[in-house]
Amino acid sequence: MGGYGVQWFMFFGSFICIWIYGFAMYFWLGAKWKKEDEEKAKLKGDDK
Amino acid sequence: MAMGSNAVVIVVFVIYVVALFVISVMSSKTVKSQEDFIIGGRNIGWLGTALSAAASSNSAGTMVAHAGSAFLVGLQFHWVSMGIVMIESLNMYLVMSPRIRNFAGHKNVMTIPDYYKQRFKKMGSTLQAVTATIIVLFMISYLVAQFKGMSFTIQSVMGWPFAPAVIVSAIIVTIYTFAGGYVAVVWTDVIQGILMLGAMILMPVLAITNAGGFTNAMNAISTINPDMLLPIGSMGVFYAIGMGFSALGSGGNPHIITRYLSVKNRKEIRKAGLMTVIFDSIVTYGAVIVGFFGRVIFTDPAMLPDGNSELIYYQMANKLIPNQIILGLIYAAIFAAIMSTIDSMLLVVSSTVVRDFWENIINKGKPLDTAFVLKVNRITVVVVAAIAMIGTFFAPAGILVLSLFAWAGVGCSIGPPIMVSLWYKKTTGIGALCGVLAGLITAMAFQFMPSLQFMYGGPPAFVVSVIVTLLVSMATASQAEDEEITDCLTTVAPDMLEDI
Repeated sequence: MGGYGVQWFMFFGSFICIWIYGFAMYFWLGAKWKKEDEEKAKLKGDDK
Repeated sequence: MAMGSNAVVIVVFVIYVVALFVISVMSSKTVKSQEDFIIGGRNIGWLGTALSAAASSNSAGTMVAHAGSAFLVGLQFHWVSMGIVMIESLNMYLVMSPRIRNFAGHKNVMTIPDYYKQRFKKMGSTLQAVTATIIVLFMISYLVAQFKGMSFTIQSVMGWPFAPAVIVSAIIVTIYTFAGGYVAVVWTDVIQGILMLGAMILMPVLAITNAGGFTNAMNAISTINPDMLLPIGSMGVFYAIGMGFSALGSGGNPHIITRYLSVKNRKEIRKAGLMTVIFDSIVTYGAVIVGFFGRVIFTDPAMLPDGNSELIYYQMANKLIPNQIILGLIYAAIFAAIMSTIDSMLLVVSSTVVRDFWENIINKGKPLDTAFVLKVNRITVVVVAAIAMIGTFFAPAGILVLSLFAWAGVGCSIGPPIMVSLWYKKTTGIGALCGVLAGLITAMAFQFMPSLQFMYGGPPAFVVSVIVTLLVSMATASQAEDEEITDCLTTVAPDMLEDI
C-alpha cells in the first residue's frame, strides 16, 4: 500500500466491508422472516 | 472528436438502441391495464426489481458527474459512493421496501402520492396533491439533467452538435417508454444494468492499471494535487457529510420507490437487497475510481474538451480501450445509465399526472375506461418528454447541480414522512404534511441561500423533515389513523404470501 492505507481502505477495504454487510443482511433477514412466520403459524394453530 | 467518425462504435451503439426498441415492442403486448403500465401488474421478480431500481438511481449523475467530481476533488467525493450503497440497500432490505410493499398490496397503491392518500384518511387528499405537484416539478428538472447527459454521449459517439443530440435522445427514450410502459422500463433497465456492470468492472481495472498501479498512482496524485488524497480535505467536513448522506433522498425519489411497490414477494425483496449492494457498490465505486485515477492520465482539467470535467469518463474510455466493439459497448453503458433513469422518470411523472391528478383529484376516484386511461398515460409520457427536452436547451447548470437539486427537492421532502409513517403508527396526516413542507423549504434554503451553501442541502432537509413529522404527529396524536390502516404496514400483503 506504500503508506496509503487510508486511501486503500476507502477504495477497497470499505468495498469488502459493504459486501460482507450485504450478505449478512441477506441471511439474517431470511432467518428473521422465517422465524416470524413460524411463530404466527404456531399462534394460529393454538387458536384452533 | 476522434470517435465521431468511427463506424464500428456507431454500429454497436445503434444495435443496442434497436435492442431496446425490440424489448419495448414485446413488452407492449403485456400491457392491458393502467396497473400493468405503471407498476407491471405488481409481479416483478428480484432481478427486475433490483437491477431496475439500481440502474434507475444510478444515472448520468453517477457515471458522468461522479467521475467528473472525483477527477476534480478526489477522495473527498468518495463518501457519496459509500453512502449510496449503505442507504439504498438498507431501504430495500429493511427500512422501506417490506412495509411499503405490504401496504401497497393491501390498499392497491400505485404511486407515492397514492400512498399518502391511502395512509392518511385525514389530510390524505391534500397530501396527494402537494406531493404530486412536488414530484412533477422536480422530476422535470431531473429529466433535464439526464437529457443533457444523454446528449453528451450522442455528441461523443456520433460527433453531432448539441441540439440534434438532445432531440434524438428524447425521441429514443420516449418511444420505448410510450410503447412498453413499466415492463419495458424494467426489462430495458435489466439489460442496461448488465451493461453498466460490465463497463464499471472493466473501466476501473483499466484506469488503475494504466495509472501505473495503486501506489504509483497515489504518488503521482500527491504531486499533482495532494488535497485529492485526503478523505476530508479542503472542501471541509460539511462537504463530506453532505455527500455521504446525500443518498437519504433515495427514500423519497419516486422512480426508486416505485420498485418497492412492484416487487413480487419477500423472497424477492431479500434478493433485490443483495443485488442492490452488489450493483450499487460496483457502479458507484467504479465511477469514482475512473475519475480519481483518470487524474494521473489527464493531469489537468484543461486537457479535457472545453475543460469540462464531466467528460472524463468518455475521455478515459477513448484513451484506454482500443477495441472498437468494446468501446461501443462502454458508450452504450453510459447511455444505458442515463436512459434507465429517464424512462423511469417519464413513467413516474405521467403516472402522477394521470393517476393522482386526473383520476383521484379531478375525477374524485371514479373509475375511468381502462383503454382511455392507458392512452392518456402514453400521451402524457410524450408531453412530459417534450417539456423536459425544451428545458434542456435553456438550463444553464451542469448535470450534477441539476441532479442534486432535484434529488434533494423531491427526495428529502416526500421521503422522510413516508419512512416515519412506515414505522411510527401514530404518524398523522398533518404531521406528514408539515414534514413534507419543512423538508422542501430546508432543501431549497440550502440550495439558494449563499450563507447555507457550505453543505449539500439533502441531509439537513431529511433530518428537519423527520423531526417535524414526529413532533407534529405527537402534538396531534388524537388524529392518528386507526388500526385497520396501520396494520396493513406489518401484515404481509395477501398477494405476496410465498416462501421466504
